[in-house]
Amino acid sequence: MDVDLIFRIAAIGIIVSVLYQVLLRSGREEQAMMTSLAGLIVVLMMMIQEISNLFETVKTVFDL
Amino acid sequence: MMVSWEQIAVFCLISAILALVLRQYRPEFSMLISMACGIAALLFLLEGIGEIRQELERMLAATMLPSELLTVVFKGLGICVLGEFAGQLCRDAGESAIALKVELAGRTALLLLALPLFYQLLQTVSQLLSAVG
Repeated sequence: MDVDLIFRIAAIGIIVSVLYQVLLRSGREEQAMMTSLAGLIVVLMMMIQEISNLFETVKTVFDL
Repeated sequence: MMVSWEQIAVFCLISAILALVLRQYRPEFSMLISMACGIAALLFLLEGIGEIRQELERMLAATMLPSELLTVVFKGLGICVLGEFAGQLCRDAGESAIALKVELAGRTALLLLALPLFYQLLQTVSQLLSAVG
């Protein structure tokens, strides 16, 4: 499930960079910026759950 | 599910390649990939660390030492793991100033954790000295 997460992040990154280039070439700088921002937010939302998961696990394992 | 170390190594290599590919286009995604890789690898490793802890507790129970000694050691280990994880990620992102603060926070927490134990040691030493003298 975690290998899956890496591949998902990489796929989102590639798609966002392609979209960014296409939108930039067609002269829509604002939309290109919004696309990259949206991709970043999506990935951050995915990561936040994993970060809290890691912290909870560390807390239980190490009795913090 | 226990993951073998070879699987973790291959997994980290794949993540490194993906991060390297994405760095030219989107550097922020490359940092997120290294973060996800670190989280996944740590989550895999923590299962093994939990087993090691159970073994050590069983060993410590055979001696007459109080069990809170091992608790303090493992708490310190947890602080080190989390602090180092966050600090290295910040350093990879090019923010060594923030990384230093994270490590400083970890050291402060570690010192706060260890000082009561040190005080206990000093008390034991002074008791011994007064018994001798």
